[in-house]
Amino acid sequence: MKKLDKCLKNVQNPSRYIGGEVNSYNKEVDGEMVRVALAFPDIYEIGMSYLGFQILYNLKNERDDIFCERVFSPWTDMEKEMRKNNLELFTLESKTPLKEMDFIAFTLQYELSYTNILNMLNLSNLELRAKDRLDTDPIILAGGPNAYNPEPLAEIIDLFVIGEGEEVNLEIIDLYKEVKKIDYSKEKFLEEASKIEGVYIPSLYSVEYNDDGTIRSFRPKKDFVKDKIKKRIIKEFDRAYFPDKVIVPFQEIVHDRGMIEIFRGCTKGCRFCQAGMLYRPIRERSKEDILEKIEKILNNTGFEEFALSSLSSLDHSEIKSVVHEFIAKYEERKIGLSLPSLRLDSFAVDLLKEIQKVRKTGLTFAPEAGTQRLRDVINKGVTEENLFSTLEEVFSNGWNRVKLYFMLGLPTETYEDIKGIAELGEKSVETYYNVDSKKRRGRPEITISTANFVPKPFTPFQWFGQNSVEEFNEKHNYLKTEIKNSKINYNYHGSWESTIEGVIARGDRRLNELQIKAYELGCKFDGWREHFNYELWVQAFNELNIDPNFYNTRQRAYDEILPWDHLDCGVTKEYLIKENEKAKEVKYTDDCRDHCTNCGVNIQIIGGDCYAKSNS
Amino acid sequence: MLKVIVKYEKTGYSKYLGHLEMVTQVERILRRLGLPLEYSKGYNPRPQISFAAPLAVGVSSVGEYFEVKVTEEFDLNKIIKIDESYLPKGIKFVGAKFSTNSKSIMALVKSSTYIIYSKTDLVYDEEMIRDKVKEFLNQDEVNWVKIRKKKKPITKNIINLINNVLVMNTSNKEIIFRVDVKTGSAGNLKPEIVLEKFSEFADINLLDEVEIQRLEIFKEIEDTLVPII
Repeated sequence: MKKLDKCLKNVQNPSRYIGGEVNSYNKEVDGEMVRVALAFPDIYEIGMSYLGFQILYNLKNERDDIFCERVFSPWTDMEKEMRKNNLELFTLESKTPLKEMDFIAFTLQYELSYTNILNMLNLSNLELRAKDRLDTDPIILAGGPNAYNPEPLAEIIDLFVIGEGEEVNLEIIDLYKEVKKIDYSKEKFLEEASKIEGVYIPSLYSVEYNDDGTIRSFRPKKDFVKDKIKKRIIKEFDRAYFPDKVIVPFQEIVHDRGMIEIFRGCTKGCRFCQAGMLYRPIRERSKEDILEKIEKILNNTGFEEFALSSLSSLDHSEIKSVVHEFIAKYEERKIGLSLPSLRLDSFAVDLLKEIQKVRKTGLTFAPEAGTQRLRDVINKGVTEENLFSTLEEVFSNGWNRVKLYFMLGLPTETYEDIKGIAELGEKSVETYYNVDSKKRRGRPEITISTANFVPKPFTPFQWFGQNSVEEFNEKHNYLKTEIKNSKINYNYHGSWESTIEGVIARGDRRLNELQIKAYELGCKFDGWREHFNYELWVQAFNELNIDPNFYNTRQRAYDEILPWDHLDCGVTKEYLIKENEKAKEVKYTDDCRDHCTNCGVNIQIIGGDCYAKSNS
Repeated sequence: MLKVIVKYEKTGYSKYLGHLEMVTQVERILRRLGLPLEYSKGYNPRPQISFAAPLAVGVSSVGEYFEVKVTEEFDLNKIIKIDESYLPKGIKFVGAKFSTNSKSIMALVKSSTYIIYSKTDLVYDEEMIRDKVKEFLNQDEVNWVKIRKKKKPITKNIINLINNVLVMNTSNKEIIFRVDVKTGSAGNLKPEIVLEKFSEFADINLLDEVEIQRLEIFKEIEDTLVPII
């Protein structure tokens, strides 16, 4: 029996590892083909839920000279079997060992998945440190939102893609083919690649530190290497690549439905939100384009549900008619629609009523903070009145289950703000009972969920000292005692997880060795509560003499060189400082759809007005 | 009530698809074909699909069945001649037939036939194995201890659940059996249990590496076993 069969017979959910799904690719391999493993450092069910992953997979495979395959983190039972049977990590499509690829391209979505990258390299018999790998080994590439602070992986990954990957990925592959034709060495290829806009080669830069541990200088090692790496964006989003088909997954994946990105970017300007800053400028797909793509994807997959995805889907300028036309067209085929990010207003409720004609789902709203003052600090334009009038309508229309999302540990937060969360929960229950009993249904089920605020690079809060484990714990306990109503269910994230996430999020190059140490001690699947082991992380900090507080709880000064300062996401530091100061003064910044707030993206990246195209 | 019964194969790596995964896959395939499906009522309308007999994960098959409720007749070639790109690798639709039987497909099932490929530590004489099989089947009792979750194990005589065992071939430290067992609500036995009991009885050392394939599922018509469609 083959090694793989031996493994598969002894694991849970073996279909995570078999490939062969509808719309997956299988190609006759020839020597000329560039082979890429698209790698996601978590299990199949999670990785397959990311739209970007499916976009890049199809984009590359539509070219005959590229064979792009997939690989995910094997769950611990599979890893055990693979190590026992001496089976290297392989691609799902052709079951080829990763070591035989030209590129292994990791998607970086969250910090707590990084130890899984190390484990995947190790399971492929590849060295963890870039400098120890050979010319014959694959190039290790990484991109995705977390590539905006590449430094904690700078000694592990060979090449980072900064920004939107649709075009630059193909440019990298084309360059690789060129260099291969002549006389290939990894060094030569990386040097050439560094000239492509949006490509960052960490080995071409050196860092020096001050005595206090902050960065003294960050400099290119060679004169042809650029000082700043500008992010890539797709300027003509309407014409940007979007696949007509996606893989129909096995397993029940997290987002098990068809998806289309209806626009990129966001104009709200929430000060905690990294995606809102990184994905600027806003670019919309037209209604016709959206509906045409939906029709194609449904015909090519048979999905029973479709999601209109974006950072704030109701802000699409034609959302109402998109929803109406979708329902009219697909109601009979029983195809449901989901809107992942909901606003708190009557416009949202009207659309929900329309959507629920086909399938009914639970509702999630994100007031983010418990008092008006704090919501103004973070620039979340939601009032208490918005919340309760929305809930009243929602309850009157037969919903009884509502989830409310908040963050703990935001800048300037006091216990009054935390108490405010409990009060909003209590008032939500009251709102339910105030609705005419003939209109409401069941009994109220309110879930309050709090995340621990982790400051991220390229946000106005990037200088903020994160709360400590003790502070978070105290806040959780306080909120637990304040929530007294049995109709309210409270859940929260672990404080240690958020601490490690925070350390890595704003970390520098010295964290490469920290993570390798933590991995060697046994850390992996850190984003999974059942596997996260903070004691091993503490041991790694101690052994390498690294103080987590330096990265995490320390308030940074505006003039400090930040580890990601050599990247340019378009939004200027001046703007981020201005926004941070406005937060302290509790001053609101308007939606920049109405008038430009001078974040810099129009000058740095577009070279013109953000709305020149999408408003025409 | 109108239903379509579909016969399909599940071979290669697709044998690792679990039952619920197959349900979702089949649902999406049928939607994609645009068949006149009858949906369940309520907030989560779904096509109404039932499978003839559950197949263990890791067991392949060339004789599986499901049925699905439809609102009207249509050209069955849509199913039989389905483009293979509509199906996961290893899944094949090989037959389809309309049915108005109000009994569910599960209630029809009486028995199944399996081929078992089992590796052995030694080369055994084929005649000897055949004789042992005869003796094995002539017993009045074959007792199997069923281990149950959070309950006491029970001992069951399974001889009446075994319809037949045939030795197809022995070579190269491999014995190939054909095993017919009762399947369905009136009596059900997994083929690997027959193998386990036989190897104990005949004192043959079977290695862990066993491949099982279901060949066919049968219903009963006038005391004769016939394939479902």
